[in-house]
Amino acid sequence: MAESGGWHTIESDAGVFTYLIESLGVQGVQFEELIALEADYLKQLSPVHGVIFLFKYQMGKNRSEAPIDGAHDMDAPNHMFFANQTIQNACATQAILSVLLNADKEQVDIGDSLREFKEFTDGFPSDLRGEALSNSDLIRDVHNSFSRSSPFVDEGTRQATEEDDLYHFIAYTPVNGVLYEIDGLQPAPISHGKCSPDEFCDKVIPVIHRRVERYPPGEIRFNLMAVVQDLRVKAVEIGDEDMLAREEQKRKEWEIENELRRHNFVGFIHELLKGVVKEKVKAGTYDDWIKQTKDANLQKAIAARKGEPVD
Amino acid sequence: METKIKVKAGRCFPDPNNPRRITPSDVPGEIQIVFSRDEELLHFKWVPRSGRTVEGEEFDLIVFPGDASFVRYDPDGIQLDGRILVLKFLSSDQRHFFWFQKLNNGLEPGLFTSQDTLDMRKIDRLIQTGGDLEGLTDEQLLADVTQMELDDDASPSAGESSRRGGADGGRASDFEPPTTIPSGNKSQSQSEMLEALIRGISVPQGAAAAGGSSQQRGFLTLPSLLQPSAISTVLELKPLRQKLLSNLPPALTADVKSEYEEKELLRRVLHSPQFSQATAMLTVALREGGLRGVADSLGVKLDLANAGAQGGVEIFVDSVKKEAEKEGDDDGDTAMS
Repeated sequence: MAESGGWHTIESDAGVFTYLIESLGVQGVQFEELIALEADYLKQLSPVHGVIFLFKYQMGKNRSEAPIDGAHDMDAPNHMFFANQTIQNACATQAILSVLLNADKEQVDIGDSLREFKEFTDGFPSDLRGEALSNSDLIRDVHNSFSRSSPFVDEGTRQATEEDDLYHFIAYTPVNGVLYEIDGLQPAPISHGKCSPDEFCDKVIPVIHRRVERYPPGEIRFNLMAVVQDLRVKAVEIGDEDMLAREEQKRKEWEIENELRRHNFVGFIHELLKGVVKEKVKAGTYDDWIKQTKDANLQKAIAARKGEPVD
Repeated sequence: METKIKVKAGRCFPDPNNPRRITPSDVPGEIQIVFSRDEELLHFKWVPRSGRTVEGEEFDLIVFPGDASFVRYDPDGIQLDGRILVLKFLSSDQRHFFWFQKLNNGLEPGLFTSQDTLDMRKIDRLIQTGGDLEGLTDEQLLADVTQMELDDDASPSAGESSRRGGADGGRASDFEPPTTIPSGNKSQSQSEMLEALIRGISVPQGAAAAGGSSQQRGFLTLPSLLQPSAISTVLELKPLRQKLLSNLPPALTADVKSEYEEKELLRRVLHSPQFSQATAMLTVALREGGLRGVADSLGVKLDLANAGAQGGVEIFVDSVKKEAEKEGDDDGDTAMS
């Protein structure tokens, strides 16, 4: 896994994920963050291809435990895409692909590159599929292009260690009439029973509820990302112009955020600081400004140390 | 409450028989950096491990982003036979000492393993930024300080140790050499070695722990200098707006034409989480040895004349001031649009 080059961490954000899959050639699919764990709410977004469940947990607590809920389906990898996770930072992309590569061909156009990747790894055992994913230059380069710009450092790979808090991504999606939980740290997909695409929204929500309840309150932070049809396409289909305008605006916001994520701000900060400094020098308040800022920081630090509210 | 990191470590306390020293406590414990969502504050905690409770050793300090740093205690010319770290503050002379307790893979007792260095850097980064480690790999954390290290001979005043806390350099003459335990005997059992290690760690007391009579110092961070109140006036200056826009991704500035659009975009950028993260990260970089590298890359000539008592951010701001004075008003920056 070391020879696969670096995978940077990327932000878990609907805009990042949507542009990531579009850069991989997927069309007509987007992500929506779920702000409530309710089936009716999820249904409003239908067609829903799957749900990505992201959570933060303490390493060592639940690694490769036998499933408490559901059952391993050891035969499933022969009939669907399932890859073992080999690189921690790739896990978001891996979960996303677990939904897309298992989606109905008629419903989701995954594009030539991913189709090729899927065919190439067809028949591979799960660990080799994970390796193939880690070693895919295309997938890694696209993934990395969404990582935060950090001008002071070289690229590198982050290895999980015992005491790290980790983010982990699990995909839930219906495949071949079964609701699967796809977790690259597990030996096989976990079956949660029969489930048609139409039943997915109703059936996945209770499963995720049970998953969340396994952790003591406050021990887990999570969020949910639905993999849905491009809402602009849906707006056109149902003829809702307001919705179309809203979704177009949302795309614009995502593009701006993605540009800023990749941006190296050092030059900008330098010019801004210089502008402010010039202003202060011209007004004759430079020394006061420095002193006041220092004092204010000191007061805040003292207040913080005493446990008083800052600001 | 969200625990950001846990690292096995013990505390060090003033030696009752010799106030000039501090000695390690052999209680197994761990440092925890915990973010409290309710208070929105970061706590630096030390708690005993394996259910032991120890009177008076509990430690829970709120750290204000940018004020505290957690660094290796490495006084010149003194060989320590333990891995000692110090928690210090820019705003005061308070210092708290800890020692790493994770086994160090048979290295010489005073040497840091790369895991130790990583743990230290992570804790340091967390308390500097108020709890943000995201987007950084271990390699980056291990690399970024050493990579950007200042040339020590360039100016002693800008060097790592003195900049970090003035206090250490100034007290060098007060040192009593710590008692070092011979570590040549390889047949020692692990527990004997641990015991020897504990007895052997001893650092000068100096300004350790106490804190009461601490001298309080102010400090600078980029986010506190670039507050909305300071920025709003300068956004009225057209030449500056254009310089700022030319430092943004072209995709964002392509359609920006009117003064209103320029200001709207700049306001949006200045309020973005990405900009906030960048100013916080640059503050850390300036403080943690990245000053020279950042200044060079921007063509800013460092002004080290008064650098003795200043932190990296202050040296940088003063240097930018010199740069600004040199540029003067020639480019019309002060003309209102």
